[in-house]
Amino acid sequence: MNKDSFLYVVIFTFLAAFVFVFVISLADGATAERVARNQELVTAQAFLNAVGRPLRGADADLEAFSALFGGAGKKAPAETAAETKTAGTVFGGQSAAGEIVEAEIDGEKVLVKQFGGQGLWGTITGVLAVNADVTRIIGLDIISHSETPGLGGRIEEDWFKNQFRGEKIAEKGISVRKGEGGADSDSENAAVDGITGASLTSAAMEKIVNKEINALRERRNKEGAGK
Amino acid sequence: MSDASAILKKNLWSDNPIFVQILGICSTLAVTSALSNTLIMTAAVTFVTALSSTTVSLLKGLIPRKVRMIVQTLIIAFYVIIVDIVLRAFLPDISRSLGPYVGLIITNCIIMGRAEAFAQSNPPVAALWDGLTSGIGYMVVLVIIAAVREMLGAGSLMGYSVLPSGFTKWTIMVMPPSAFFLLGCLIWAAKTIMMKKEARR
Amino acid sequence: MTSLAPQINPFVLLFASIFTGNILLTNFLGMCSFISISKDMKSAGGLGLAVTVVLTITSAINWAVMRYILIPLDLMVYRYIVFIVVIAATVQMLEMIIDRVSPALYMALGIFLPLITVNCAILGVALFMQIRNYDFLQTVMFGLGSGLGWWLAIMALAAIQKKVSKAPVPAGLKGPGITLITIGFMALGFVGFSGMLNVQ
Repeated sequence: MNKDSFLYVVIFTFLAAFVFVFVISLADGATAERVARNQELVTAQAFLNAVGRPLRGADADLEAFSALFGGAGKKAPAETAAETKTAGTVFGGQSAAGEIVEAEIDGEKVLVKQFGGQGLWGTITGVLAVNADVTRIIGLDIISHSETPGLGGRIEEDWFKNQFRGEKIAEKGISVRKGEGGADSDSENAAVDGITGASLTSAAMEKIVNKEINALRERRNKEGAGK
Repeated sequence: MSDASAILKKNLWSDNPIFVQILGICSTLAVTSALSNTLIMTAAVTFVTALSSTTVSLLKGLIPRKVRMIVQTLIIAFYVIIVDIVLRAFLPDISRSLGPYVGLIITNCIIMGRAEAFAQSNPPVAALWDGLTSGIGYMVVLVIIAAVREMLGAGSLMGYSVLPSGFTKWTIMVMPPSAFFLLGCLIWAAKTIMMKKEARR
Repeated sequence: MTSLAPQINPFVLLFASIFTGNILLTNFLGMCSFISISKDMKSAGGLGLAVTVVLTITSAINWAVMRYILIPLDLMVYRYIVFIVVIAATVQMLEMIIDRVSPALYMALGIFLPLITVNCAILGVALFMQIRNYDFLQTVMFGLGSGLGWWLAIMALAAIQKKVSKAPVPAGLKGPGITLITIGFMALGFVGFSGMLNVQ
């Protein structure tokens, strides 16, 4: 058959495309479950990170997550018993913002909230945990972002996130300073260092965190009034 | 056998895709701020180059000339999607930090370049070897850049601290411009060595 | 894939993608043709214009294809293939249209169009808009801004190259080496734009 005839070109292109599409759909179907589980795991680990729990590998983390934040009827281990909401359904997808979840970590009540806010290039999602009277941040973790690697993308680096751990919350919330880009180790000044060359992302983080702090305060006030 | 080693030497040094041809740095330079990302990314590029070269070589008698480019692009895109699926399922952390850059392997000029320049007119085994060595030549250069950037910028390698804690981190090394400086200096060094060898001859 | 588009002002996105997040200088996309073409101002300008036009058009088409075909039919896993085919087809069509409509413009742009299909910046913008969930206007502004930013960068580099080519540079550094270091300094300069915008 003539290789340059129209019919051959059409048949060849069609066959090649068919084979490729078939193999891809097989591979995609075979891994769909794993990918979904990975996605769940990312959220679970962000929650555990935010409240300062050590990560112990995929299965243990998923278990710890449901135990702490929404054990859907399961009896949780003694030390981490109390929880009020089923987090699993609320935080299943990459929804922009979630409800406030209460959990008890080592006997202390903490408030945890999944957040979604606007960065320079796209939505930044993550988890913020604070203590019961919203005076101190327990921790912060980033789930997803689309900032530039090496600049704004550094918000997912540990040195940046760890600055929030145990940070005092001032009247006006937390400020992200334009600093030398080193980690700020003072946890009483209600401030963390921003990222060099990424003042927009740093400003966006400040806004997102303070918005969440306000939401958490509202919740605290409402609860205080109810009692 | 001498053929194989000649290809190896050519792709790793005298005709290195980055030093000499300045090809294919688009997608990967962006992820060189961390060594582990770079290793996975360049491994993915090597995998795609090797297999798409082999496939192009296997099909070279069958591909109609009119749609040659588009079929080659299809083959490359096919392998990139497979890589993407595998990364998402088995290395989710790396897949997340690579983000869109995995998909950009499709437009990596090295892959199309090898398919056009070598695989078109050579048997499958040779094409596989050529693709593999080109990929490795590419990998070596970018891994050097990533190692320097991560070591000076974050004081670590593969995420493990290697420098004493008193070390002042070079923030510039994490920022994008440093990748251009390092690559420029590497090319300078490589070219100087090549020119010295040339002069001796 | 179902979550909402980020609340970003499309015009902020336009300026951000020209200056603070220049696709070439911070994301390293579109380097291949960049280095080989940046030697004279005239062809740099032609290529820059062609990239801008193609980027704007393909980002809009790719957005529509993704929104109305790929997502409803659950075909996102094939997006790489679809995007690249859309880009290749658009470039071909543009080439034909320009040839018919304006031979003069074809003389200026025609030779650059085939180069563009393999320009990573074009596919890059399509993938970024997908991963960042942009809406239509955001996508078009991001595409336009990235194109203009690329254009600006290649013109600036071509102008600098003109001076550098007469400078006494060490033999080994001549050519690509000094070009890359020049781009590095440009990138460093562009980082300085970072404080210019305010995300509201």
